[in-house]
Amino acid sequence: MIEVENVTQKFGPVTALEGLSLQIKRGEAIALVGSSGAGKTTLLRVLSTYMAPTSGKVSIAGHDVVTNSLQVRRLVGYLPEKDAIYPEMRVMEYLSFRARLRGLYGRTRVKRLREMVGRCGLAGLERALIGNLSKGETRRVLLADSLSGEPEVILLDEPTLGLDPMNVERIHSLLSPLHGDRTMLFSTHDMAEAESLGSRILILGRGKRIAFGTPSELREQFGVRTLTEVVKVSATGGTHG
Amino acid sequence: MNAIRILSRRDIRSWLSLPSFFLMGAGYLLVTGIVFWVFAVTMGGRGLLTTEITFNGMLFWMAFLALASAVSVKLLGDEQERGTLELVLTAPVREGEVILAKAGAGFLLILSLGLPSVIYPWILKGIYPAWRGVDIGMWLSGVLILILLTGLMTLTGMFWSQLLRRQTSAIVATFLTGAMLVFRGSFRSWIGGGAGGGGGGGAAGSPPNGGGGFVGGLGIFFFMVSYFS
Repeated sequence: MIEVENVTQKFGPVTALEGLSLQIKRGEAIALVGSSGAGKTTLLRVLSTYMAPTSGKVSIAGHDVVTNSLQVRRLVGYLPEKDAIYPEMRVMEYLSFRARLRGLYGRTRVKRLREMVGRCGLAGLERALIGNLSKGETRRVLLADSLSGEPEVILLDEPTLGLDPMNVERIHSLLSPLHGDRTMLFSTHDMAEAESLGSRILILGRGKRIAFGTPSELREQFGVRTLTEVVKVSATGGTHG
Repeated sequence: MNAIRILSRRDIRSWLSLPSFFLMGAGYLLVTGIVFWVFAVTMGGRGLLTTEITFNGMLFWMAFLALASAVSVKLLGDEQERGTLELVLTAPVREGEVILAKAGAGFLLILSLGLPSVIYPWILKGIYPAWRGVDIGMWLSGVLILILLTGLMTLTGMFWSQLLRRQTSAIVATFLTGAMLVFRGSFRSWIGGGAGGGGGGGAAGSPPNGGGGFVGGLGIFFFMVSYFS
């Protein structure tokens, strides 16, 4: 479903991704972990077509993210790390605007958005100004938007960043059923979240692939008991996976 | 085409919800209104057409350039500053559609603020029947130049907002680019010390010595650069 071949992304003298390669099958949920600056956000931005890689090739469902970006965008639902959203718009107005861009019209759009509003815990906030929402509510609006097109590939950049435990739980329960049905890539600093939502875990360090495998495979490879220890060990030394 | 309509509609609705948009429009009408009144009073006895008084002043066009610079730079600049450009550019739309939607919305917004000033000659004609009235040809050419200049400034502002990180620098660069094109005849006459030019509302012509073809060509150039960047 997703193929990343020898991708390098440079920002002037800074190398955010270096020779990264990986293959992700349809229906897999991949957790991206690594310290800040490891290249998680850059990888998601390249996959979302927001950035073209400096070198290398990335394709989603056979469509190249650079030469066939429009096709890729039709397949992908993307939740950016930053809660950047139009503060002057109302929740439903914003979701309708984004759904129209995805080609959803009429009753289908209304039905789909009502369903997403309910599933993301936004009921009662449909007419609220986005600028007046809390961080958790804004995050859920963005999540509802990224899922409303029923995308085949879901890219989530720290979906539970800065949320209270109740909202984290809500988002987990929303994402868990998508396992096996949709291909999902999400970045996180929470190892419990990576293990519970991800079928495989990709550990990045300074733009390079440190390790890639199921949680049990990684624990076995690094000879440790927890994933937190895996990340600690990988940060100090060897490349696996 | 549909994406262009959806994106530009959102932009227009968003701008219309901003008090600063109406403040800019009010400021522009105030400045051009004062300029118009001063010219009408000081040149009252020269037998000029009301159209000449409106479109011949450098300050009129300067005020318009300032207004157009501020709005056009913010079209893409605000999205970049807030981070919403990431969402726009990852939605299933072409980059060209985003640029066209922004340009279309900006064009309509700037024009909606600038166009009320074209009724000044008719107001003056109504107040002072003794004035020589409105020359329709000159009035239409003034309106046409205002429309063409709106297009040029929209694209120029979008271009500079992508090139310069700070919006203030982009607004200044846009204003200077516009001023260099619109007043190039005046600048030439000032530098050369010769006669002619339209500085300070001297000779007839609106705007002072602006080259229509050159301006149009440059507008296309800025559109192409914005599109491909």
